[in-house]
Amino acid sequence: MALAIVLVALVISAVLFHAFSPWWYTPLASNWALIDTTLSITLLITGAVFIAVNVFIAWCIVRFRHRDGHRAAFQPDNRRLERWLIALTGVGIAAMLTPGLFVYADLIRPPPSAAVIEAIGQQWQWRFRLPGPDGQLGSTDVRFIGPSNPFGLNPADPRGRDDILISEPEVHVQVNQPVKILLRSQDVLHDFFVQPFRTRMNMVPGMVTSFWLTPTKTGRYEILCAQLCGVGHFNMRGHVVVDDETGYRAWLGKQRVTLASFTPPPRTTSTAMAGGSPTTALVSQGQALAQSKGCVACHSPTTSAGVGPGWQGLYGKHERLAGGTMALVDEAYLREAITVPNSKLVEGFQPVMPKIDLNDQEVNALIAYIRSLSTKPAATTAQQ
Amino acid sequence: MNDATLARPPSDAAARLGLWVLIAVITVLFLQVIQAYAVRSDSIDWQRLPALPLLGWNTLTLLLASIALQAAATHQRRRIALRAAGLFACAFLIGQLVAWQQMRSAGFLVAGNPANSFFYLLTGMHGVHVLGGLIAWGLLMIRARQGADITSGTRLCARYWHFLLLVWLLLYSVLFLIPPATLQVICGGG
Amino acid sequence: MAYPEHEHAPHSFWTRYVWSQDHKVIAVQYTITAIAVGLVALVLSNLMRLQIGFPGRFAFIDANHYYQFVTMHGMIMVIYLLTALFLGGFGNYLIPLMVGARDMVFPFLNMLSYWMYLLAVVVLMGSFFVPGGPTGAGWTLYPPQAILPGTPGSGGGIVLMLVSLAIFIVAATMGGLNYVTTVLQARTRGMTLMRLPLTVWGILVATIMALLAFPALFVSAVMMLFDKLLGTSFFMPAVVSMGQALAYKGGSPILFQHLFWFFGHPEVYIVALPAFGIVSDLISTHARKNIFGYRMMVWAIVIIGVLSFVVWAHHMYVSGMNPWFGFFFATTTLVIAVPTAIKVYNWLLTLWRGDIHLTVPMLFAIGFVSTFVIGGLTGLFLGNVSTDMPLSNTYFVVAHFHMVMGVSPILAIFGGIYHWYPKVTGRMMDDTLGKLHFWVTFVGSYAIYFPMHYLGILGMPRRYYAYDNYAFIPPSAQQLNAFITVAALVVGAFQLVFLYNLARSAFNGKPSGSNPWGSASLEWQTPENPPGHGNWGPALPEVHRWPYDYSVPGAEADFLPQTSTSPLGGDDAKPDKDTP
Ligand code: HEM
Ligand SMILES: [Cu+2]
Ligand SMILES: [Cu+2]
Repeated sequence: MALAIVLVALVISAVLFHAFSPWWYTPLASNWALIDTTLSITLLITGAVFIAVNVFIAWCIVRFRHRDGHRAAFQPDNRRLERWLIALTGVGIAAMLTPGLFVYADLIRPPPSAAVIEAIGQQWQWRFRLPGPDGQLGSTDVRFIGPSNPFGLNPADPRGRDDILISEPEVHVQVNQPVKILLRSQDVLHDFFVQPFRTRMNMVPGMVTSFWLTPTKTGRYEILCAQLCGVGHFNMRGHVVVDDETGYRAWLGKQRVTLASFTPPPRTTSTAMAGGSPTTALVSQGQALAQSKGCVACHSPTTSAGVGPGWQGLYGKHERLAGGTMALVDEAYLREAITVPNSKLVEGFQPVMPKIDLNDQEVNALIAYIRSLSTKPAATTAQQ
Repeated sequence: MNDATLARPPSDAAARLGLWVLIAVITVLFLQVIQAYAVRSDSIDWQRLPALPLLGWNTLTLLLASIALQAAATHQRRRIALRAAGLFACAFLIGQLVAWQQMRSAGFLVAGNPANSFFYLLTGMHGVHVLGGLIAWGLLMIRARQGADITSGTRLCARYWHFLLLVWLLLYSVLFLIPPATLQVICGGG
Repeated sequence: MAYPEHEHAPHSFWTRYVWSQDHKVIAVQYTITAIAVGLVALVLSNLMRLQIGFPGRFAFIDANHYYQFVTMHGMIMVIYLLTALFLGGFGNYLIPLMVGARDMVFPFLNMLSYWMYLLAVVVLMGSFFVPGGPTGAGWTLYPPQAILPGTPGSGGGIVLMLVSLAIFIVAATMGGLNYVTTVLQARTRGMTLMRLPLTVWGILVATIMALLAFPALFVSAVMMLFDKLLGTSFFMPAVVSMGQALAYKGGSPILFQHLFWFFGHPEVYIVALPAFGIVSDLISTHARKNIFGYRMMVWAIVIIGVLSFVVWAHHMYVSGMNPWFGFFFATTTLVIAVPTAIKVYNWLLTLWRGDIHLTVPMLFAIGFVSTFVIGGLTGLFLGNVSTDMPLSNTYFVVAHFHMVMGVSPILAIFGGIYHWYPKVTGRMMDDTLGKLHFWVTFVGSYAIYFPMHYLGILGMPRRYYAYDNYAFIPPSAQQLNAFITVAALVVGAFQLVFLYNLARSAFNGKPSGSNPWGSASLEWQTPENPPGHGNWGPALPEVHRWPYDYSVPGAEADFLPQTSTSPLGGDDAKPDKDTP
């Protein structure tokens, strides 16, 4: 009996939860309204079945509960009833499958007018490439990847010479303009997922995958990586900004980096920052670098440890290294930690930090930024 | 009620069925690798291996082992045929090891080309199954020494060996005879 | 027939309980081991929930640990708990008793199977203690990630995981050979295939599926070991990992996914089919009514088994495989819903006009139907390729597979344990504790997983260590997560009630008598309870009817055991006649 009541209560609370849930899709920002429609049809059908089944069980439990002297009916089979049920199920399935397949046919057929952009995944950051004036993307290969060619462009391919390279994790697209997004990865699987767009695709090293959509609402949307890609997976963040035409043109006009102009910024000699308190310009440059180079995927600007140690209060602290020795975190320590990753390992962490391309000046900026996160810059008091 | 399941002595029929099931499982195992082989051989870096002459001789020894076991299963002169079968099987395994050695000294290393990797993987897996068969053969020899009746055991052993021979012939053709393109068509590509 | 096994009845403690070849002892060994690793997985899940519900509050759970917990939790639950418990535990115990055999046909192989399984478990647990810890690659172990340094445990951890899986597969194959051969060859006189209880059908088809699906996992494990240890490039394309170009070249990560899911999808049904069978038998017995549409139920099991080999790529809609596959796999996936629905209808129609005893096993069986239905229905969202797009790899998926292959099979297992415990021990489990256990587990599971679907629809991705500062995730989602965590902790804690009940009842439980539930199927008709070595005493039983002759009109008792020679009920009642 209690079970009947609980089943009915479950159904009622499920319906109420559904009705009042503040958790639901984010507002649609692409042309894939049909996905939402198919989802709603599916929800309607499955919801009805869910309610019907549970209520039927509850009713049976009450109506046919054991009573003394009562016996169950003896009914091995009922072919007619079963045939009806199968037919009904078939109809329900078809009602969900048919719209689903129609939408899918569109999903895998990008219109020829679609603009093409490329997103590149790497543990744990996003980069982008747009075709230059020739409207074509040049070919790429992992084996071309190097400090001066982090996108792996084929130097011999003339189509790639004017490609626009974007090293920040943010890209713009134009509203109401269909766009086909090519996806590439240089290390492991990733997945380009922007929930308001509804559609998405994995990024697979060794191949180029793609999907398409037409953004329909201007705004700034978050890109999530939705395929486990290692320990920094949850922090692999990016943004896609949907602009109107003028906004998009303005943004595009500012993107000027091509393979030729990518050569890493000239190496400045070490600035005179020994002893002096770091300048705010340097600090904010460091902060920007921490974002754009993906450091924040693993290091939080607080004390809490992520994949790597948190940065707040780090400077001036005595760190216990793997193996038990202690080391004072000073400028030299940080420089080594950044430029020769994993040379010294803090206890409790994995040797997973990548070597990131930075010139001396950028390293200084990062150090300045990390230093600024410790409340008392000059303090060398040992804290655990 | 016509009842085919009357209390039958379980041992013989059950062992035969058990062997068939085992053969089915091993077949699926090899087919999976061959399917993977077909998919992988589609890539541009694929370089086919040359067939070693030694492998032909090894095929022959495996064939002889199979024939010897068949003789042991059907004839009365069981002992000698059984011994010969074991000998041939050992010869096959040693031959395979030598083949590995020759491949290696010819510069076809495991990690070199995916075709090499598959060669070592497939021959290795097959070798392990032959080794398993040899263990069964050894148990049979011990039972024979103890004077037990090994008629049905020998028959099962023979059947397993024929199967191993078939698997080997399949592997040999996949590795050296069938062109990858044909294989991809057969396996439905990837 | 003589009773030859009797001479070999074991005498010492060691041969009786440790190196035992008796299927009943091996079943108990499998069950205890599986429950023990299952507890590890449960604790891991609660640790993960602590991090998600109260991020940062438990400093020792860092991102590395989180991913290791996710992976080990998932793998242990699916393989080492559920598969081992259904096939090694229930299969071993019930098959010989239900078909009327004295033991499995290859008892030695059966023993070996258990020890191999134990070895696999030990190797797996060993990975907690190697440098770098266990692998954190997710239970799907997708390369290239699984063997590259950005993933925790990409050294010894992943190697031990793959080795352990390979050993497990050998163990499962040894067991599987036995189960299939025993069902097909060692049935007693009169036990035709169409008189087998659905439990045996479920386990038989699941075993055949396991035998055909596990090789794919074996192959992928071995090939990945080659890639990891010998530097081959089966699955590894050229990559630049952590700024370093590696020597791999040309391999295909998607090939691995095909192999993995060729195993992985059937695996869902390897777990589900035995649960279907067990639940069918529990519902029929405790509703005192024959299972509705037996023949249809058998065919549904077989058809599901066959179809589930052609749906695997529904896990790969967004993997980058050839997009045209989507049409095929979406269609097959939704078609499989039809035989699955038939099973549900027939459970409901068995309850209908029954004489329902709400015993503890029955509570769990009904709980199974309810949770399986919700998991099956959400599967329609994920199987239908376009609706999968926004939901793939979100918490919707987590909620879906927990309902369909986490909670519901576990409920079936609990139901089965409460039901057959008196068979194994001769004692009943405590009823009050059993009910307490049921209510908390059942209602708690809904509390955990029902809201989780909504987080998925919102777009919360799975396998995320933390969700800080994502603008599209409202703060209320965090509160919901905290609620889910509390529910998970409560459910986790209440499993202790079950363990206590399980252990205590073995000594203090009420003696059960030989057939406490009035069950018609053969396993309850042994001369001794619990059955002795050889199960049947001097003579094998003879079977005269199907196992579902409950409430047969005219019969005195409300059930006729399979061994009964009564002219009532029986096969004549079973044929498919339209009844008004
Ligand atoms: C109280 C019971 C359980 C709780 C609280 C629980 C909780 C969780 C959580 C929090 C995750 C990780 C979600 C993520 O970060 O993506 C997870 C993953 C998983 N769970 Fe459970 N779980 C439970 C029982 C089970 C059972 C019985 C199974 C058996 C099938 C299971 C199978 C899995 C699998 C396969 C994964 C995926 C692992 C992966 O993503 O690699 N869980 N569970
Ligand atoms: Cu990721
Ligand atoms: Cu599946």
